[in-house]
Amino acid sequence: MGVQLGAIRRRPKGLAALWNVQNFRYLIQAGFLATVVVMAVRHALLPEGALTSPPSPEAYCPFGGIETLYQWITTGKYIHHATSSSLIVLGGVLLGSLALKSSFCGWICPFGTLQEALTGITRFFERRFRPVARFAKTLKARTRSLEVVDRYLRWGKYLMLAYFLYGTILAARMVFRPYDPYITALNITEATLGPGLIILIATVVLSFFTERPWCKYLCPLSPIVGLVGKLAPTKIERTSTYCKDCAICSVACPMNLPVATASRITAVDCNDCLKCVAVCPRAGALDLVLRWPWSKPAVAAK
Amino acid sequence: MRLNPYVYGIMAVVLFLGVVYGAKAAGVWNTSHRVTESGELITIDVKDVDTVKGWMTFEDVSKAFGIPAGEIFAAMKLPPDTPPAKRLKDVMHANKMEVDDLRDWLKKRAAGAK
Repeated sequence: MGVQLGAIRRRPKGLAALWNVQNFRYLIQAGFLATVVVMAVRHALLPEGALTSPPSPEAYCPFGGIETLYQWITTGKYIHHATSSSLIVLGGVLLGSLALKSSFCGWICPFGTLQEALTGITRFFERRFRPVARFAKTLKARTRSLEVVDRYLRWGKYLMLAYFLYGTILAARMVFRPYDPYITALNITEATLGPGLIILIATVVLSFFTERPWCKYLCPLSPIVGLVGKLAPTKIERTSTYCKDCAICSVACPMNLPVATASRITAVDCNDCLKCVAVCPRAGALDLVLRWPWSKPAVAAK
Repeated sequence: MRLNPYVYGIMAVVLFLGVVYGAKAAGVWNTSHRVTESGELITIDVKDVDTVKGWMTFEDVSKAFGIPAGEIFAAMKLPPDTPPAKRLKDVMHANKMEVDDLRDWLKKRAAGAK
């Protein structure tokens, strides 16, 4: 049967090691990213005058749904660049958040995947080339003092959300679109130098040094998904009885959350990638569980 | 109760795609700015400037509103030799403008004519 709770989990070796939750997640993420890339290429090659297909992947962007929601409720119309698909995808994301917390961010969002892939390149070189690893270590040590700045910068996404919601309601148009790095990436062949391209380039460059910079600091969808996700029955919980405080979970967290000191991960920033659960060496110390939103963690943290 | 992470991932995908394909099956899904959910081609309604779409041409706008293309180009400060059969978004973006700028002008013009 299963491993005894609290005992060290035996890691599979060889080919069997390839079959794990994180690789399964990467596979799903890659599937969604590939779908979006194919759609973007097919749309870019769309002949002038074509009526319906292939659609622009913009039609699948949930933020378009947020931007058109007010207009749709008040007038029954969509703002420009939004279609019924924008609202439906938003509905899918919110339903996913209600049931499974931030599963959209960690498992589906193609822009999150792109950022993770770029960070993955750095990690690859860090593992294989010592000078790169040394450089990364030095950089991390020198930028430790910026942790306070990081805390404040995370409020940026709430400001973005408030500003763009207010602007969209006031102007009845997609005020976020010129700033949206995801939309800029989808329309890269038509991109001109503007805020969208600058933010996209900054996100790409920063992704080599820090995980998911757009999600952490500016993504206006992230607070909505995170806040709705607080009602979800899925939780990541740490059981102090079995936890040996190795803090490997905190190190693995791409959003730099203090997993090792929490009894339950309640942060809006958590994207449910489950990296913390995957790296935990002790059976039963850190798990994904089903609980009522108002219930307390099963075992209090130390 | 512990939840298997594999099951969690599968549920995330099924839920998301379920909503998308459910909407498609229900006939409420539309990704096109050119046709409605029922497949009808979107045309310009002169009473509603918002029906002017980026995929339409200057010819379409000129014909619908009865404004000579030259007047539109002059108002938008576009080169007078702009081909009227070009898509609005292509011309506007090439000249660092948005289709919304054209809509705003059409709105102002309509308000001025009243």
